[in-house]
Amino acid sequence: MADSKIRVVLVSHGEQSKGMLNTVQMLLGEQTNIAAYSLYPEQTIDDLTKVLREEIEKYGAENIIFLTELKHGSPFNAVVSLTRDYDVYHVTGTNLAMLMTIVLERDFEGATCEGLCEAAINAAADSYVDVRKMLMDSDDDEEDE
Amino acid sequence: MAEMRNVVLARVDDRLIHGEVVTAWTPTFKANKIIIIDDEVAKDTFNVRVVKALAPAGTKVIVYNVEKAAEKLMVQGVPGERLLLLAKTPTTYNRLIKAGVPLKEVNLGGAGIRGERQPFINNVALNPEEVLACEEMQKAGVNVYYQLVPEQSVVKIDDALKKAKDNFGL
Repeated sequence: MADSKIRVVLVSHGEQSKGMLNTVQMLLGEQTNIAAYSLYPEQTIDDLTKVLREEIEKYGAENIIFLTELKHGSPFNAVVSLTRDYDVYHVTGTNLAMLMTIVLERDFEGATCEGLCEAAINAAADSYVDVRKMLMDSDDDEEDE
Repeated sequence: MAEMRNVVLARVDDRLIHGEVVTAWTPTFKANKIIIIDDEVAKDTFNVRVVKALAPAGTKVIVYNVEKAAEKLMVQGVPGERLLLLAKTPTTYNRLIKAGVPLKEVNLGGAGIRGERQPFINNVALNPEEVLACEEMQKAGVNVYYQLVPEQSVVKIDDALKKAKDNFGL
């Protein structure tokens, strides 16, 4: 299979990005054109921003979706700072449903970064559930009948 | 006594709007307006646009340079307004205080090592000018303290100040 055209770049505090990459490959098989970067306590945001800039220089901002795990966190801020120079596709709040959606749908015919970002947000929204509450609400429905 | 709007927290954090500020300090103090005070950021239209667009939920973000901040803060506040001030360095607060803004407390939250900065307390590093700014504020009766997140206890800076002055030969 040819490499996906759209590159996914996961960025996180510590190992989350690498763990996400590991898990998504466990579920969906080995992936190409995907990278994971970590910000560690001994690093500065500038160190991280530098490697992310290199990603963009190498692959082109129009071909990359950045995923960060926390709005206003340092990895998020690093990616946001790059929007000064590039039109960056960036979704924050990384979760597995979101990542799986992007990884699966990026190979669809006509897939675009913009469309994948939207699909990612929809997948994430569907994936956050207070299960106990949902189960209780569904019990209520039955009583109504 | 000079008039001042309702400042609930004045924090030094060179990451400005950042995880700790958004998830911990803003809700704890029920801040509804975040004022970034920084001469450089205020000049940078890209940065101003970004911080305003990405304002944490329930807050409005404003960016002023020091001069403008002094002018805007020393007026009677609007009822219900709760301001969280953010600056990259304690020097900024010292300048505000000298300009007449009657701040009572300054929270040292985060300042990374760069340039002449040396470790001060935990994740706060200060250069000689910043050390002197903290000392001046203390002498002026402002409580300058270290606290990363609200759950942590407040750390007095007196010992760190003494050590930093010795270290820098001040």
